[in-house]
Amino acid sequence: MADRLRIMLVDDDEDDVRLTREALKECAVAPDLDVASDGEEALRRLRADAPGGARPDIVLLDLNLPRLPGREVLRRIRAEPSLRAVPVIVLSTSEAEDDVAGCYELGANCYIPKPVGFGEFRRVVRAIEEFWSTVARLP
Amino acid sequence: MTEAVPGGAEALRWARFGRALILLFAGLTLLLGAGLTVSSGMRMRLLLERSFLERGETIGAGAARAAYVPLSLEDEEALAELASQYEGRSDLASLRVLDDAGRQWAAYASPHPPGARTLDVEIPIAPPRGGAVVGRVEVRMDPARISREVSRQFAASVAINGALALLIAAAGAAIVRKLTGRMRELAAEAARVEELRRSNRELEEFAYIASHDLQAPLRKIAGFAQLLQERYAGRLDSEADDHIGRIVAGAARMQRLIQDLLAYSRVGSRQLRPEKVETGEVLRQVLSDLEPLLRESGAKVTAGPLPALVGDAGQLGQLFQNLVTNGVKFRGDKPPEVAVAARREGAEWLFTVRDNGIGIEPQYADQVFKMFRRLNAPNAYPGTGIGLAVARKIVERHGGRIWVESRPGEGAAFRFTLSASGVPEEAPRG
Repeated sequence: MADRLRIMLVDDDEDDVRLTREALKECAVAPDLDVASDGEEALRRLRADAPGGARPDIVLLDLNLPRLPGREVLRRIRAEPSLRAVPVIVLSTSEAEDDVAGCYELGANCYIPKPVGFGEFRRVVRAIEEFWSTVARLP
Repeated sequence: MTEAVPGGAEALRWARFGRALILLFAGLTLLLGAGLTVSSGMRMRLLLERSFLERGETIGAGAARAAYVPLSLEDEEALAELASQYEGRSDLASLRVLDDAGRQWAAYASPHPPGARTLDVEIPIAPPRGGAVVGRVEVRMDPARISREVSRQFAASVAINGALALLIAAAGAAIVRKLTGRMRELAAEAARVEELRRSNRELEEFAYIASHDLQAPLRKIAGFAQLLQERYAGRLDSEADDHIGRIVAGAARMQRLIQDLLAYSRVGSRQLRPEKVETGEVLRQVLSDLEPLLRESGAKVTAGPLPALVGDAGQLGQLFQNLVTNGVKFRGDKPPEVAVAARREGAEWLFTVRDNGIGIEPQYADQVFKMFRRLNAPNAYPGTGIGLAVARKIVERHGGRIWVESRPGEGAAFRFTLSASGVPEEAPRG
C-alpha cells in the first residue's frame, strides 16, 4: 500500500485522537495513523524512523502538549537536518494571533484551528488528507 | 517633583518628593509626611490631579490648569512614563512640559549651584501609535550633582522657613489639618478607583479564560454527539434520535453563547485605540460588509451626513454593524428600512439608527441592552442576544450613552452619544 498516507498525530487528548481516527476512517484510502501522546515521544519516534521508510509523510501537531510544548517540538523538527523536510500541520484550539504567527515563523506548513462538531472536524481532516495525498508532492 | 504652577501667586502649590508631600502655601513651607502607600507614584499624582479637577476644588485656577496638563497633552501615559524616569533623580536640574505650540504647562526647577554644567534634552511626546507630536518635555540634567547635595539644600531651605513656619503654623494649623485630611481622603479615593479598575480587569480576564476553557469539553460533546447522530440515526428508536438531536442542538447553542461571551469580553478587555475617525466612512465599510445580508432581506439603509470624531475605528464599525443588523433582523412585514443620522448637541454628537421593524415595548427598553437578554423566542429571531450588549459596551467605553425609543409596531430609534472631542482617559490595562 504505497499510496497510503502516513500521518503522525501528536496529541495528548484522547478524544481528539479518537475523532481524528473516526474521520480518517471515512477516507477512500484510510491513512496510516501513528499517535504520539507527547512531544518527547514524537521526537524520539521521528528520529528513530528518520533513516528508514517508516517516517511519516506529514505530522499533525497539537500545541498544548505535556512536557514539551508543540511549538518547541516544531522548532526542534525544523532544527534537525534529517527531519527538516517533513511537512508539519499545526492543529490547535488556539486562535490567538500569537500562536498562529509564531508557528508559521517556526516553519509550520499550515495552521488549522481545531473545528467544533464532527461534521466540521471530518471536513478538515479530509481536506488535509486529500491535499497531502493527492494534490501535493511529498519529499 | 515640584509643581511650579504657571500664573500662580494665587495658587496653592504642592510638591511631592519621594513619599513626602510638601505644600507651598502663602510663603509657608510645610512638610507633610503623608506616608502614602502607592504602587506607582506617577499614577497617584495624576489621580490626585484629576480628583482636584473633578471636585472643582478651591485650589486656584493655576493648579487646575496644571492638573489639566496630561489631558491637554492628549497622552497621559507617555508623559507619565517620561516623568517617572526623572522623578526623584538628584541630577535633574529642570524639567518643563510644553505643548505643541511651545506654551509652558508645567515646570520643575531644583536649586541649582552656579556654574554647574548641564545637559539639555528635548523629548517630543507623541501618541503611542504614532501621529502628530502633541507636546515636548525639556529636561536639563546636571551630571555633577549627587543626591547628598540635593538633600543638604533641601534640609537648609526647610530650616530657614522653619522659624517662620512655627509662627504661622498656629494660625494655619486648622487649614493644614483640613488639607491633610483632604489629601488622605483623595488618596483613599484614588485607592478605591484603583481597586475598582483591578477588579474590572480580573472580571474581564475571568470571562476570557472561562470561555476558552469551557470550549474544550464542549468540543467533545459536540463532536461525539454529531458522530452518534450521523452513524446511528435510524438504528436506535425515534425517541433516541430525538434526544441525540437535542444534545447536538444544545451543544451548538452553547458554542455560540461562549463565542459571544468571548466577543463581549474582548470589547471590554482590549485597549481602546483612539484615532480620528470618519464615521461616514466607517458606516460605508460596514454596509459593504453587510451587502449579502442587505440584499437577501431587501433592506434599504440610508445615511445622513456623519461627522469625524476621535474613537476606536474597529469598535465603532462593530457598533454600526450591530445596530444596522439589529434593525434589519427585527423587521416587520414591510421590507426593512434603516436610517442613520447624526446631529451635534453641545460637546457631543447624537447618533440615531432608526428602523421600521417590530419595535419594542417601552418597559423593555433597558433590557434589550443586557447580555443574552432576548425579548422574542429564538426560533422567531435567531441569535443569542449579544449584539446590543456589545453595542452598549462600545458606547460606554467611548464615554457615551445609548438608549432606545420605540413602541411596538412603530419601529425603533436607537440613539447614542459620542464625545466630539475624544474618548475619556482609561487606566492602562494589564
